[in-house]
Amino acid sequence: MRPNIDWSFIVSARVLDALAQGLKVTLTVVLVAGLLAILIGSAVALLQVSSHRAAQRAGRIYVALFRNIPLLILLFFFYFGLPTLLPRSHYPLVYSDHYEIQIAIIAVTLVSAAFIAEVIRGGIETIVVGQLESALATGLSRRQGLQYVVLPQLGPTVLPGLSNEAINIVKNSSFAMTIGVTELIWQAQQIEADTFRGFEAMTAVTLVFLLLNGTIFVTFRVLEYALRAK
Amino acid sequence: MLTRRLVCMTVVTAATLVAASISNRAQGASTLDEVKARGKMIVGVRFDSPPFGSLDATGKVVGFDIELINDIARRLGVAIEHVQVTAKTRIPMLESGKIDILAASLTHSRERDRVIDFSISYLLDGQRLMVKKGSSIRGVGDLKGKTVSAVQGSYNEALIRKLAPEARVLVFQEYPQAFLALKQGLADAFTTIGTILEATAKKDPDFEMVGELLSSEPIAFGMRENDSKWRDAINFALQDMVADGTYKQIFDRHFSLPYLPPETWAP
Repeated sequence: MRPNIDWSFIVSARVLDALAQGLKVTLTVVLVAGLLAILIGSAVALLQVSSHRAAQRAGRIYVALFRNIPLLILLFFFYFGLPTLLPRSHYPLVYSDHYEIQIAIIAVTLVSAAFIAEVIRGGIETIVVGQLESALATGLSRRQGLQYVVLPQLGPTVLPGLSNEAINIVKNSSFAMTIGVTELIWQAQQIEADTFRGFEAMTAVTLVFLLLNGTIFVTFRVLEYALRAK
Repeated sequence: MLTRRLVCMTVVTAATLVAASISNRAQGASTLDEVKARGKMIVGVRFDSPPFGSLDATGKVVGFDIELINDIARRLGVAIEHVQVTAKTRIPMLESGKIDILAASLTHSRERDRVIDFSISYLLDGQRLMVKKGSSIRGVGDLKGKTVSAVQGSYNEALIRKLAPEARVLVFQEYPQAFLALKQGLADAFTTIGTILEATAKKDPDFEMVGELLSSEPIAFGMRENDSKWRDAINFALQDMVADGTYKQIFDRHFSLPYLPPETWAP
């Protein structure tokens, strides 16, 4: 059978337009969710290494919950489930015009924050052995010890893990197409539906993902070496 | 030495087999001959699109597409096997030869026709709107500022954007989610072809179709490019069904639309 593939279609205006639109949405979700996930993830990690029992438990519960629930279920729960609990007619303020993108950002953030918290906690605990005790012995408080001894060394230790998580955020953002977010893979499906040229469309989107994740990988590598060199 | 020889032989054998299987198709052997030789026709059908193709309570696949294609297989004198396809798998399954034909409520379009071939249309459907009963939306003119849900893999989205440029369109992967969005109040209307909306309204009487027909969508079987012998066989069998009344019986079992038969050619 003659393979019915038209490679020139990949660089046609139809595909390039769709990729540009999809990339805009994907980047919005990735950048906002990534930033929020770093903040929440750091907070959860600090809770886990805190000396307060209740704080430790809260951190652990967060990680157990959001690391173990599939992202797809979170998306469906917030998007389709929430309107059952809070009907739109009664709580119009909950639902904005871009409800699906907000939900995508929230769900990706919650999941990624749990993984990031584990990466940071792991980093803290590797350094902590001995060093925090030494810091305490010199008369620093636990908080000062964390702030001045542990945190400055954290960068190079957690960067490889964070690089993984950043790439996972990019890939996870695609799940949002199930609730109608018009990100990259959604765009590829759309081209497939209109033209039946799914192979070409998917190839194009794959290249964009490789480029995007490649950029992230290289950025983190450069950052890691820069911090090590210091 | 012996192993190298074995490797060589294996490679040569494999290459010959691959070449043979390729040339088999390249020689222009029609799918019709393959189906007849096999004694069985393998059909790609939808399991999730009532009234065209869906699973009944016993797990059997039923629907308008299924009854039509079953009858065509009977007319060709071969057995039939139904294989599930989705919007994502239908074209790769057909192109790779895993199925002989698609009976999966495909809308015929010129753009799609560049990739595969279509039979004559076996149904003329059209896009409509569905809303919750009591909604203020009575037609496409009332959609200003409203949200409409649609399904990817259809032309419904593009058309509704054109007809109601001030509406927001939410596009989902599958029918159940697009309808759920309407049910949950996330969308004010749901748009797709009338036959699917009719089947949905039958199951959930809180919802109704409103407004007029927005488009005309011809539904057809899909086949691989450049196999006119196979396409003719399917077209003729379909026309024979129309001529002897079988088509109308099947049509009436599934739709309450005005009866509009597919074209039949002069003998």
